[in-house]
Amino acid sequence: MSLKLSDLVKSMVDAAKASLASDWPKVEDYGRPELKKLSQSLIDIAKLAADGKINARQAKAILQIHRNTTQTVMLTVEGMGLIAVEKAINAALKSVADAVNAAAGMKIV
Amino acid sequence: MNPLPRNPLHPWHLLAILLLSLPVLTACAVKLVSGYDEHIDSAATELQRRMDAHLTRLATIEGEPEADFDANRQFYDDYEVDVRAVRVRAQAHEKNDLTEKQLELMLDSLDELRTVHEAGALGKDTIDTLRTLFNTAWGAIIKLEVAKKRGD
Repeated sequence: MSLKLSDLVKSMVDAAKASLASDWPKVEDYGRPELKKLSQSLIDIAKLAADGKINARQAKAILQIHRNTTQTVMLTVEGMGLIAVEKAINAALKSVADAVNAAAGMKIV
Repeated sequence: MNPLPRNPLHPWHLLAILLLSLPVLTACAVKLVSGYDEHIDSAATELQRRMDAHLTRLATIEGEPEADFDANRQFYDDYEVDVRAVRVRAQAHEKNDLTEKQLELMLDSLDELRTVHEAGALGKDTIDTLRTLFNTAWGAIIKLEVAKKRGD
């Protein structure tokens, strides 16, 4: 059975979207092309095995590298999402700083 | 049951608490992820370049004795030490779990690459796939590090 790139990309993007929920749009520009690249790599690995260019031990190890790489990309996506949330919180704090400092009679925020 | 005696703070105590809290209150910007580390950024960039060069060289000398695992054992040992050094640096920062985890995954991938190389000769197509995976992983590590700059 041949793997279809568009199906794999959709599965990976859907999983990332479900995991990140509302934070996905903040990291989509980076995440989508990387997940597409990883989907293509998965097809390449399957083809290498099917064509007999790698043995079973090599296929297993390369798949583990693929898994690690996918996880590494997802950790970056997660980190960028956290940094976006952090920026939003700090912007919100900054926006009310003047009012809070005026009410406190001193600079506390 | 008698209510607990009330022990209101003296105004001077309140003032002292407020003054002691000021440095915390004035520095209350929220930080969910550690700050940018230029050393990690440059070390990751260099390690990406070295892995790409190693795999490119293996593709160039495919089939020759110099491409065998035994002839390249030293590369894997040296590379492992260097990735571990970056991980130690990452562990020195608070709230840097994501980068730490990424570097642990990189060490595991390096171990798997060693297995792939030991298990047989590497053809050009296999090397292309491996190079893409390692460049993608290092690219992700660098991307996260650069994102930590937060426009500072």
